[in-house]
This record gives sequence, structure tokens and C-alpha cells, in this order.
Amino acid sequence: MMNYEPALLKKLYRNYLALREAEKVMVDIYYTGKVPGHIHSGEGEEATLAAVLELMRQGDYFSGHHRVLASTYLTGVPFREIFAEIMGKRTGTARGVSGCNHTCDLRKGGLGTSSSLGSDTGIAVGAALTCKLRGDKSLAIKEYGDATSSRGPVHEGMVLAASWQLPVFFVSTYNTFGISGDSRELLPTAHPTADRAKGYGMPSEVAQGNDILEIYEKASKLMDYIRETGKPAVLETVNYRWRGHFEGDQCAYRDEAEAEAARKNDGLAKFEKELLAKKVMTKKEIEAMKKEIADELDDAVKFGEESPAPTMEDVRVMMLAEEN
Amino acid sequence: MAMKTYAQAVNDALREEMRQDKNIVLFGEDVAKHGGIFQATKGLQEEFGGDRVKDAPIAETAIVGAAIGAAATGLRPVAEIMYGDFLLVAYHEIYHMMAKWRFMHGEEFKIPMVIRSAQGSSFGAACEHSNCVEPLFIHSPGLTIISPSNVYDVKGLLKSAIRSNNPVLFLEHKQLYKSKMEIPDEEYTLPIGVADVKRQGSDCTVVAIGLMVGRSLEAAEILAKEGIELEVIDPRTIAPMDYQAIYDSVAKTHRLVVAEESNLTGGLGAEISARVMENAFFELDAPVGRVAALDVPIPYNVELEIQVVPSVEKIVAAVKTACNK
Amino acid sequence: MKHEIVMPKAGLTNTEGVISAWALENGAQVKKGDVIGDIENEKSTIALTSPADGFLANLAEPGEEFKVGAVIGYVVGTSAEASDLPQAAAPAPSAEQPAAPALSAPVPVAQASAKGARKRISPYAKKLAESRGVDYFQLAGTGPGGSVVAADILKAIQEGVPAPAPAPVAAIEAAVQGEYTESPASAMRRSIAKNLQASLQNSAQAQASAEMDVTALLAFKDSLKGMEEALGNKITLNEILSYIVVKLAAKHEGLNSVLTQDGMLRRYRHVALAFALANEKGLITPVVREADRMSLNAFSQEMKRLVALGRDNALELQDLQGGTITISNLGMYPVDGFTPIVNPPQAAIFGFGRAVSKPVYVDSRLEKREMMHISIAFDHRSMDGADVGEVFKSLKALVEEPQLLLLY
Repeated sequence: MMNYEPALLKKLYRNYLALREAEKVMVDIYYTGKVPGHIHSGEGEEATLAAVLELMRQGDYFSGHHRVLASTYLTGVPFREIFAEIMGKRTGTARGVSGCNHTCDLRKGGLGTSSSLGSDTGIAVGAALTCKLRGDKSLAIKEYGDATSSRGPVHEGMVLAASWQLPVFFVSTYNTFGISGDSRELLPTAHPTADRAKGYGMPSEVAQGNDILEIYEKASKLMDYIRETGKPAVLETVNYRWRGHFEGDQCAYRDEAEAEAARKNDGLAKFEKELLAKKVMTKKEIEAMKKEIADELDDAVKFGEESPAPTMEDVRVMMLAEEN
Repeated sequence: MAMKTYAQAVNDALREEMRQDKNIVLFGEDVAKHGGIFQATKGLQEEFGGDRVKDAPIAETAIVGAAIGAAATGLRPVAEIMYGDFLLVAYHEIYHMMAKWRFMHGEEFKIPMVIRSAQGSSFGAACEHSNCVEPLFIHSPGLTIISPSNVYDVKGLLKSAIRSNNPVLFLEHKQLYKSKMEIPDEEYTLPIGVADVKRQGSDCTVVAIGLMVGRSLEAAEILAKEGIELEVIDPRTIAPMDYQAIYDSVAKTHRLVVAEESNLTGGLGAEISARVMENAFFELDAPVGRVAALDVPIPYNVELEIQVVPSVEKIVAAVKTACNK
Repeated sequence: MKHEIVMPKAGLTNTEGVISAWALENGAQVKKGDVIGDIENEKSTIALTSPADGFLANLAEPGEEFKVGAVIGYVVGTSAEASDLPQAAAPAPSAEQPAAPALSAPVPVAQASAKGARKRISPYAKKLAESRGVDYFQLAGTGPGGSVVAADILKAIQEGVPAPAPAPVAAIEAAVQGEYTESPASAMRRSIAKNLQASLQNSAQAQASAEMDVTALLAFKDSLKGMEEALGNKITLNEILSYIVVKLAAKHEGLNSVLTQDGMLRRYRHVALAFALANEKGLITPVVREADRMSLNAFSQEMKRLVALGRDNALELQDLQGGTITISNLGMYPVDGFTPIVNPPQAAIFGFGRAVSKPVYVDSRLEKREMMHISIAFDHRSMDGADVGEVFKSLKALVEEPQLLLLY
């Protein structure tokens, strides 16, 4: 830890904390009936995006998946717009007509996500083509999970990125479960994405999902490689899904003791403890930061509640862009 | 004016547009070095280089996905999916993602992309390489679909498709690539969403799609000898379709036949019939006739294929039935 | 193989029927269920369908009455067999005359009055028939399955709709003795007869009339005499009266409406004025289309054009169709006033008598004024007395102050 600048450590902590608190709020508002659709909690898996998105630069692109929706926040989109979209309101990132899984802002590098997870791998490849033609060392990040990695379009996207030598950063947040499927049983290798990287001619790293600094270090190395060579690379982080696939999932298919153990092995708690121990941050600073984020989230939820619903006119505007 | 083939017209349209707009990129299987299996993209990599014109591995879902991503981030990609049948390999990527990416993510998104594909029967290509797929895609709101029937139209419409800020599925026809026509040297575009009356007539309207336009015009010559004057309408844009042009024609002739190469069930004729019934019911002197491929997979044996795919004779017969002759 | 075609039973009490028309001829190929003709009885007309696949043979003469169940034709297996068959059964002897005085002769009224008695007709042909007042139930259709198509309607308009089977009127005829000569009534005469009778039976006609002061109107007409050269045209009183009706129809939408069979009140955007014209063939009604858009001079010239062609029977179909209101003027005869009959499916018709000099009180003075009897016959199903009252208010205004024609 001591190799890192305190400012960076604080930023990484804030990222991690913000995503965690946002995940908790999202689950709360779901259970109080404020969210029209399904939500998929990424609580416990935030470290990967907290680290990787810190390494994102102006001109880079990012496509996430259906967990840790607030990762969009780390690209610079206010919580207000994210939560308004989750609550189906007109002030959301897509005027409330799209919903939970697609919150992003293109102007901040957000590419979007397909609900058919993995079908959007090509989107990052296409964005990377734009980066390459711009010639400014920017890259496109595609983040997804272990279950998704089995899909054809993921494979085709990686083949295309490798064939065309494009600056795509494939980040797999392995979290052990699809819905009920246990990847340790269903998939052929322990690290389904990293283990295949060699087949695509790509360098890869594996990191522990609850060790934000290990993730940051390995991501940093790989992203430097991508920017310098313009070629794709792979990072896989190992996590354990804390909650159900969706809210309301009773998780009868797995061992509750194992899940409880994973929840106790919380990377955020560990990081906080170490920051305090090494005197990088004080308890007061942490409390202040927690309060600041809590206030931001309260404000965002209130904003979402008070915002109007979209109309058919919004549907019309959202369907087609204006022609010249 | 110059004599050009349909393939050359496609090539010219791509070349002209790529010279004017550096953001246009082209990719697909066998399009760059080989110039496309129908030679529609011949010479383009030589002129514009390997960054703008790229061969892709066999990875249709990624080709479509990459086109969407490139379009969203400032390029104007023209991706090729070799055969119309293979569009179905990337059905989700086209039907949901390409058509709805903007809707799903925000009004700052523009998806100015074109997918070009060659569809239709071509004598012995069999049931997975011979389909016309418009009916499978008109059901997707937000997707523009164009099926040009001749050399002049394909050039003007491809240029408009490339210039559009919205996603377009551009369906060329395998049998038409070698067809020839004299077309202007000067640059021209044709409007999307506007039908073309290919032949005026007063006795019966035929709305014809793609290859069936030429067959309907042949049918018109035969019918003229028997005193039946056919009006042939080529919608050109399948979605959004210029239904008003069809209503206006039916108000004149009072009889309608739809001729398409796709299968009968759930084909374009079904949609057009319903719309005409809703909006021009009191103009109809006879039920709307549909000429379409029989509801069977396209057979490999060529004689059978010819029986399955609509012929000039079938169009003539349908018109006569509508005219009560 | 031969199947008998029998006179069908149209209802519980139905005992006889008349073949009003065959849709196809002897030797025609049919499929089971195809409509092959129309059968008329006291109450309705029903479609007759073929009992089998094959060829029609020995079809009985239309117009003859048969008992229910009697054989009226055959469907045979081959066209060769068609000629070998015995005659169809002789018509039922008229033991019991359904005493049917002309005034209540059976005329098909509503569409599906008997079960299965729907007339098959294309939407466009139906639209044409309604706009032209053709009763398509009478027609043998040439479309698929014997349905009526546009060509059948246009043909009917040209030739006059075939007459329904004449109901036996022996009882009345017998009462009038004496020598007589007879000749077949022309198709046009039969068509007029049928249409006007149908008009009275199928609508709720009422009348209203007034004796109006046309002194100013006649003076207006005279004032135009000096402008004949400038206008290139001499405008007649008949034309001015017709033009007034156009203005009334444009102003009062009830006059320019039609109550359709489906209970829709259809208001036409433009006024197409039909006017009665007698020629050697009889009575025709040429139509000035979109008369509401014409100036008086243009309207007058168009009427003259139609009259000239109409006298020579040289009018095109489009000049005989599509009238939305009619005028009938008997003022050139010594007729003071009369009640015309509405021309279906229009809502009204105006009748004008001659102008006569009469002593009339104007304020409290007795003056010589030119008076004319003007009447309207209207369909009370779509217009009420109050509507007609409003029409007459406008009519009075226009007739007494013709300069208002400039403003309407």
C-alpha cells in the first residue's frame, strides 16, 4: 500500500465506498417498491470497477454489465440520473424508457450494455476501432462475468479484437454463479476468461476480487500495455456473488455457509482497516466521506421520486435520431 | 450516363461516399482483399487502406456489434453480412441492439450504420442460402430496411442509407448483381421511405419487392396484350413503408396483388393486405392477392426451386384473378 | 350424375318463390356452394347456391313462380349431359294468388332479412352502388362466387337495373275492361318506376312548401340581359333557381347528406346538383359536379352543356352519377306547384312552379308581385321540420334579395 500516493488511495477508497453504498440503496429502494423492474445486486464485487474505472482517461470507453450499476457514477454521471433511470423517470440517463441495466452517458465514455449479456462485446470492439483510428492511445473496456464468458458473441468479439489488433480491455468479474449455475462445475477451467486469453494471443492476469490494490496494479499494467501496443488484453478478478442473481432469489442452489464466509471476507472492510492502520485516512475523514456519499444518494433517490414519468413523446424521441 | 451493373453501382456508391467522409469504414468477411464474393467492394481497400476497409473473421455477432460500437463513437460503418440468411446468426444483435441501442441508452446516441447483405434465391443455393428476410425484421421498431430492385435505385439508396443517422439494413439481391442499366454519372441520392411507381396502369396494382419488381414488369407486358394495364409499385424502402402510395394506387385501380420472394405466411403481403383493408377497404373490388414463395424450405433441385419461388406466370395469374378474368 | 336444383324454402311460412335472375347460364361450370342465382318471394331475395360441383343444365325461366321444393334446374357431371335432360317442372298453377296490388309489391328492403340472404358484393362496388342509388340486390354478380363487382354496377347504371319479378296483378287489371294495346315498358321506364317506388317505401318522406315573392329575383334575372355580351352567356331563371339550391345545400348540411344503409349520416363535402331533364327516352338527371365551387356564370354554362348533351343522350357516365341534391322545375308549364319525390339516396329535392302575378300585401299596401310556389320533399329520417324551416328562411332571403348570392 505504501507505494501508492495517499490521494490515489483515498480516491480508490471513495470509489469503492460509493459503489458499495449505492448498491445498498438500490436494494433498499427495490424493496420499498420504487423500482419498476428487476435489479441485480453487485454488492461485494465493486473493487474491480472501482479500480479499473479509476484508470479510465478522457477518450476511453466503457461497457459494463448488469451488476454494480452505479459504476456509471465513476465515469462522471451523477447519482441523480442513474437512480432516476432505475426508477423509470424522465430525468434518467435514457428518459426512463430503458431501465436499470443500461445506465450510461456516451459523453462520459459510457457505451451501454445489452440485456443479452455478452452480445455487446462487439460494441467495445467497435469503439476500440474508433480509438485506433483516432490514434490517441485511448482504449475500450468491456466488463462482464464468468457465466457470460460462455456466450458466442464474447468469443467472436475477442477473436475480432485480436484479429484486428484493437485496444480492448476485457475485464471479467468472475463471481462464481450465473443464476443457479455454479461456474466451478459448469465451466471447463478455473478462470474461464483468463485461461482462454492465450488462445486469442492476449496477455492476461488474475486478481483477487476483494483486493482493490492488486486489481489496480494488474489493471494498470495491462492498460499501459494496451495503450502502448494498441492490442487487447484480459483481466479476470475472482469474486463470490453475495446476494441472489436478482432481488428475491432465495439462492436455494448454493451453500449458505460458503456465501456467509464470502460476505465476511469483505474487501472494503479490509481496505478501510488498512487505511486506518497505516494512517492514510482518519476515522473522521472516513465518517465524513460516508456521510457525503449518503447525502448524495439520499438526494438522488428523492430526485428520482419527485421526477416525472416519461411520455409517449419521449419514446418517439428516443427511437430515432434526427436526420441532417 | 454510363452502363453499370448493380454490383458496380454498389461499389461506386461506397467509393463516392468514402471519398467524401473520412469516418466511413467498411468491414465484413472477404470484403477487403477479395473485394467481396460478388465483387461489390472491389478495389476499396486499395484506395482507402487497411484501417478503413477490413476483412473480418467469421464472427457475425461481433461484426454487427462492432458496427454498432463504431457508429456510436463517431464512425459511419458499412458492415457486410455476406448472405441474408446469416443475418439470423446475429438476429439479436440486429433486431434488438442495432435497432434499439439509442432507445436503450440515451438520446446522445446516434447509430449511423449500414449492414449490407445479399439475399434471395440463386438457383441451387438451397434452403439456408436462399432466403429473403424482410418479414423477419419489419417487426423490429426502429430498424430501417431497404430492398433495391435495380441498378439506379441501389446506388441512390445506398448513398442515402450511409448518410442516414439511423441504423439501416440494406438488402441487395444475389441475382441482381450482374444486371445492367444506364445510370447518370452525376451524383444522386434517392429518398428513404418513398415508393416508386415503376409502371403506371389503371386495372390492377402490383406491389412488388426486390427481384419481383422485374418479374412484375414482365408480367405487365404479357397482361397488356390482353388489355389489362398493370400499375407496378416498388416500395424500395420496406420499413418504414410508403403505404400512402399504395392506398393512392388502389383508389385508382381498385385491385391489389403483392408479389414477394419471401414465404407466404407472415410475409410482407400479410402486412400490406391488413393496412390496405384498414385504410382503403371501400376501394377494393376484389380481395388482395398475394404471390409469395410456397411455405416450404427452398429446395436444392433447381426445377423445384423454380416452382417454389414466384414466377412471372404466377403474377399474371394472380392479377387475372383479381381482375375477375 | 345429376343433382336437382330445387326452389328453396326461405322461411317457415314460405310456400312459393320466383327465380328473379340466374347468375350463370346453362352449361356454366360451378362448384358446390357457388351462388348461381337470386330467388325472390313476398318478403325478400335470397341467394341460390349450387348443390354440387358440375355444370348447370335446364335452368327454368326467370320470372316464373314455383312451389318450394320444385325442381328448377340441374347440375350435371359433364357439359355433354346438359342437353339430354327433361324440362324443369312446370310452374305452380296459380291456385292461390297472393293478392298483391301494385302499391305494396314486394321490393327487397333490408340486406340480410332472411337467414343467409346476404348479398355478396365487393366493398368498392357497394360504395358505387350506394352513391348512385343502384339496388344491387337485384343484380346477378359476375365476380367470384357470383359476387357483385364494380363492372356489374356500372353496367346496371348504363342499362337500367333489371326489373324484379312482376307480382301477379291480375285482380286489379281484371277490374279495368276495354280494348287496349300493350308494349314493353323501356328499361329506363322500369328503372324509374322501381327507383321512385323504392324511394317512397324506403324513406320517410315529408314535404314543405311556400309561396315566395320572386319579384326581385325576376328583376335580377332581367338586369343580366344587358350583360350577355360581357358574360358570353345568357343566364336563365332555371339556372338561377338551380344555383340557389346549390347555395342552400352548401349552407345547410342536412340537404347535402345521405343516410346510408349502415346508419351512417354521410355529409358530402361538395354539392353535386342533379336536375331533371326530359328527353325522348324519358327522364334523366344530369349532375353538375362540385357546383358549390362555381360562379353563377360558370354554373350556368355547365348546365347548358349538360342539357345539350342530355337532349342528345350523349352524356358520359360521370355526368349522370353522384348527385347529392336534385331540383325539378315545372315552371315552364302551367303548373303552380307540385311535390316531387326524393331521388334516393339523397336527402331532399326541390320543386319549382311557375311565376304568377298576384295581388299581395306589402306592409299594408296591396301591390302586384310575382309569386312562385316552391316546395321541398325531404327524407325525414335525416332532416327534421326545424331543419327545413331554416332552409326555407335562407331560401326566402336569397329569393327576395338575390344580391345575397354574392355573399353565400
